[in-house]
Amino acid sequence: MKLNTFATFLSGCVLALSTFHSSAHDIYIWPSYFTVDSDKPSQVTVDVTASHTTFRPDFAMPSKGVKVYGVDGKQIRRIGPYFEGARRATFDLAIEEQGTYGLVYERGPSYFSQYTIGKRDTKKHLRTNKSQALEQMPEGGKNLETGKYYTVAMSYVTNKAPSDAVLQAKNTGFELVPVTHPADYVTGEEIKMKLLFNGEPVEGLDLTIEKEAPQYQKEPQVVELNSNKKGMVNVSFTDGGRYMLKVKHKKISEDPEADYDITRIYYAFEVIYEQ
Amino acid sequence: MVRKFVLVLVLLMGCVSAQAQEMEISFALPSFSTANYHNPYVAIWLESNEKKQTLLLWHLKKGRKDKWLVDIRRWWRKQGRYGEVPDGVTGATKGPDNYKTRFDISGVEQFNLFIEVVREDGGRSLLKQAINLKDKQSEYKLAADKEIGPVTINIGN
Repeated sequence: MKLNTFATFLSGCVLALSTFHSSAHDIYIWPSYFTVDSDKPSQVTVDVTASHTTFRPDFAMPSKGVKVYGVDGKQIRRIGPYFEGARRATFDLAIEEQGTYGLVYERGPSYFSQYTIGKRDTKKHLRTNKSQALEQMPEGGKNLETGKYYTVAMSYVTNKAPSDAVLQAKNTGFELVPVTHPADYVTGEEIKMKLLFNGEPVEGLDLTIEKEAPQYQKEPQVVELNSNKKGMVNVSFTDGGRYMLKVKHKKISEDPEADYDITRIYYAFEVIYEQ
Repeated sequence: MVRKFVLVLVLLMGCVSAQAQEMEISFALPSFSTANYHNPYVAIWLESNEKKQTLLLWHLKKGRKDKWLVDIRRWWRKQGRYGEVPDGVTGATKGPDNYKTRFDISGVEQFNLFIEVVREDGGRSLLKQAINLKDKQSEYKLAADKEIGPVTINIGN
């Protein structure tokens, strides 16, 4: 089903989607150019930040989580100088080949516990696993829940003709896999992607796509979508621009130190206004 | 003697039937009274089920070394990024004027013709016309857009 209706975005939606981790920021990685045309080696600046506002840097992220994949799909180990400022981190991505590069920022796993206490069931948070939380939780604490969090921020850069190696599913954990090539996201044409867990389709998962610069709009432009039984998500846009897709997968954990495994994905992409 | 005449006649007829199918496009690049005017990039190309073919590409630099070609958005996605621009198709950008160019379109019968005009610090226009040579329509007229004046397409030999 083609969905291009922009719904009014309420900050409450964000809270509802992430009640378990309301203090967390979204993590973004995005290139200064999503599409380049270069025969000679060239550079694209990549920004890495954590923020609550789409494409507005707020907190720099350390280089530890950065993974860059080359046009052959293999990880590129050397990414050059990494500048970590106050609000954002940046590095220059060397574009030396034709095809599509993958940019990934991974964080986790990290444990996050929550319990309630007192007459008003006040919510309290601890950045600990379950057994540490049980030790630290004061007497009278109850409803302890621990989440094991993974965060993945992703984006793509294409030099000249697009290639597919970097888009292949790894079939481990929760993944968002582009079906329509990211270099072919244009207004008025259907964009397809799929959600997988260990290679199997994830049905019925809510996700949101928010257009850049909500602070300059009367109302933020947000699309709310749901994956079908093949794990597919189809969307089309009437406006060109940069967009941020956010999706969260939650499952019962097999780790005794957590109740849930939660993977959050943030996918930055560009839609070209074509007609 | 008669045989020779017949042979020459047949050869001449053969030449006529093998003559290239041509298309003439007349268009204008409008002038703008702006302090920051740059000649626009222009791309004309066709897309059919069988092939995509660039017919004209006016851009800033000689050859294909021009990193701003990505800004001719649809042309870039359909043609430019694959690097398939034959010699003799490209030229330097041109200013406001009337232009008339002829193209060899042999080998295609049913196609979409695209004209994309992109101006730095200006706008962008994309015109599209479906053409089927079987229709025997010899002339198509396209309405002007912001970056291009009215377009006339003539199909003929």
